[in-house]
Amino acid sequence: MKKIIDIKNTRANQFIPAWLRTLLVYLFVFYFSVIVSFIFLKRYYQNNYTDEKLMAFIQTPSKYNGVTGDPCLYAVYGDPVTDNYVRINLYCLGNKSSLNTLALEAFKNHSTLGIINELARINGFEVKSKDKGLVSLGDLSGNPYWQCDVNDAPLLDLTQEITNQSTINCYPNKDIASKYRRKDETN
Amino acid sequence: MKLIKYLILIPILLLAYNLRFTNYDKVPFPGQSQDEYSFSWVGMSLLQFGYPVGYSNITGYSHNISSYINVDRIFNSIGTRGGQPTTISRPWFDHPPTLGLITGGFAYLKGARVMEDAGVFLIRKPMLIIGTITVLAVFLLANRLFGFLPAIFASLVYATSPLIVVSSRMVQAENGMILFYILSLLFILYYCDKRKISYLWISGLLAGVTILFKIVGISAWLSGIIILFSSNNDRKLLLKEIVIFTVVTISIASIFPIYGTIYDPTTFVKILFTNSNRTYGVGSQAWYSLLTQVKITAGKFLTDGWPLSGWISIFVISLFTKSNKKFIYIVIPCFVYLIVYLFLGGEPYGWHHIPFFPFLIIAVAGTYKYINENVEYFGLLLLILLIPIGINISKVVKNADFNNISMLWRLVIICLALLSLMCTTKLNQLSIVKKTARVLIFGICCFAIYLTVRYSAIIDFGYWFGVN
Repeated sequence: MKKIIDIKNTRANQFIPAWLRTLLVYLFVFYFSVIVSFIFLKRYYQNNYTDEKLMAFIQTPSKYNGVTGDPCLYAVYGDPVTDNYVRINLYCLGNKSSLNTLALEAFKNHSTLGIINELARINGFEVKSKDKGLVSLGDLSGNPYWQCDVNDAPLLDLTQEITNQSTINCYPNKDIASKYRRKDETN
Repeated sequence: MKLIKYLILIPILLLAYNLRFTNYDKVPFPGQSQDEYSFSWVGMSLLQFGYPVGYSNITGYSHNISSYINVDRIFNSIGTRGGQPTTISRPWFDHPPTLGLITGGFAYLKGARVMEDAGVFLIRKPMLIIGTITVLAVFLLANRLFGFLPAIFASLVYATSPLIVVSSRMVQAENGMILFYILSLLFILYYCDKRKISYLWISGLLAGVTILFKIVGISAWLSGIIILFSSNNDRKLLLKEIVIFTVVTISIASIFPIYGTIYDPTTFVKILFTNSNRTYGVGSQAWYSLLTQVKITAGKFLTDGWPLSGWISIFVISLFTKSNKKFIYIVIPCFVYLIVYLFLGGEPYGWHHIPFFPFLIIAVAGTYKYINENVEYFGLLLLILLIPIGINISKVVKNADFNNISMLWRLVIICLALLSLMCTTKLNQLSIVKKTARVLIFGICCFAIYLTVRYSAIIDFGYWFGVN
């Protein structure tokens, strides 16, 4: 029994003070725990992360913001600090309008419909469309469709790609369209 | 019986919480700092995917996504965000994720699942608790250093100062960091008094956690080292203390680089270096700005006299009380953080000043104690307290109303000035003069606190809109 190593009296322990031994034990236990924790964290990441989940995390509208029936209730204020932008303006009934300038880098889909859908996501209204055009934005239906111009030229195809610094104007019916077009001509 | 007097802390903490809670989701405006959301997004993404994702304007990330994340409708509000989309970077390494795990974790528990759910009405709530607990920590530190009454004064000022109340609502790492900085100092104080090694260990752990909120929290470690040096002449013991304190601190702090290495060591190192090479935005006039400007965000200033009073107090106690060792426990941490702040620079955001506040306020309390014992310096305390009193009166009382009481104000000033002059002469030996001075000191402090509470109470959405 005497030959069994007496831990307290080993040579190493005679040279290593008690406080240092405590410190070394602490470091061993601490880093062992940290490494095990991070192995679990990495596994958790590998099992749970996908790019689709990330995009949903970033782009899903908040349940706290609510959805509005008025597409002209909100607008994105301010201009992006870039030369790569698109202007998208909605003109609604009752002289209401929503004027927005958005950076193109925030859009994956550069078609007119893609940009309108993105604006709808930001400002919190729904978009209904058919092949022929925009049926409704929020609760405001087109007559029979919303009319849109791109750089003052009538938009015939919602899938048309938008070029840099373009301006999209959308109106729910011909009367409002001609009113704002006449205003532009007068100016 | 001794413990009963501590019951006074309950109304102080309730007052602190109430002032912080009122308009917490409106002032500062949501979106005035994107960092608030970013910290919480990092926490939420870590909890949901085990992967940190947040907002960054630092170059060096290889994965960036631009998107209009309309949390709190910041893009639909004038004067907060502008039209620039948010740049989301991953894996996010701007700062350690500790604060994000608190605020993002809280938001997640309350049902937030996407970035837009992390509104300030949710993510600022944990900061109200942290801010209130920090008031308690300020009391404990001031009580240890200067006694009960100065500690009550310090905690009241910290609970009610408008700059501190508004700043403490924000989801900024400095608000989390300062709580653990104070607690680390408190335990190192306990250790220096009682030489119980467990206190040193706890102090080291807390200093490490301070760094895990923000890397500038290394001030806690530096302060601890300097305090250990100045409180111990035995070289062997000193070496042991420094080794224990440093190893424990660094071990906790090393969690951040290990965490970075798990995800992307190259990006982690790149961001670390980019962070340390940021534009020296504070500029050569940083020291002047620190003394004279009271910023809360990047562009909003809120006039508050307490920080300037605190700086004067710091200089008073460091010059006049060299023989009293306890004062160094306030002066050292303040100056260590000042050196770190001036050295690292970065943008001159208001929240970078937050770590100064507890030490400045405790310094005012220390000056109060010192002058209470040495009434010949009564005039000095009067000058120090006249700064916040004057500013608070100008905010609380309209100009027209002040004109009605200006004669009374001038009379009071004259009387106090005369008493100050008397105190500088041999008349200060008379007990009536000493007692009068002490009663007036107490009264002036109470008046200052009263005005501070009144000022804090008027800061609402409309007031904040008009602040420049």
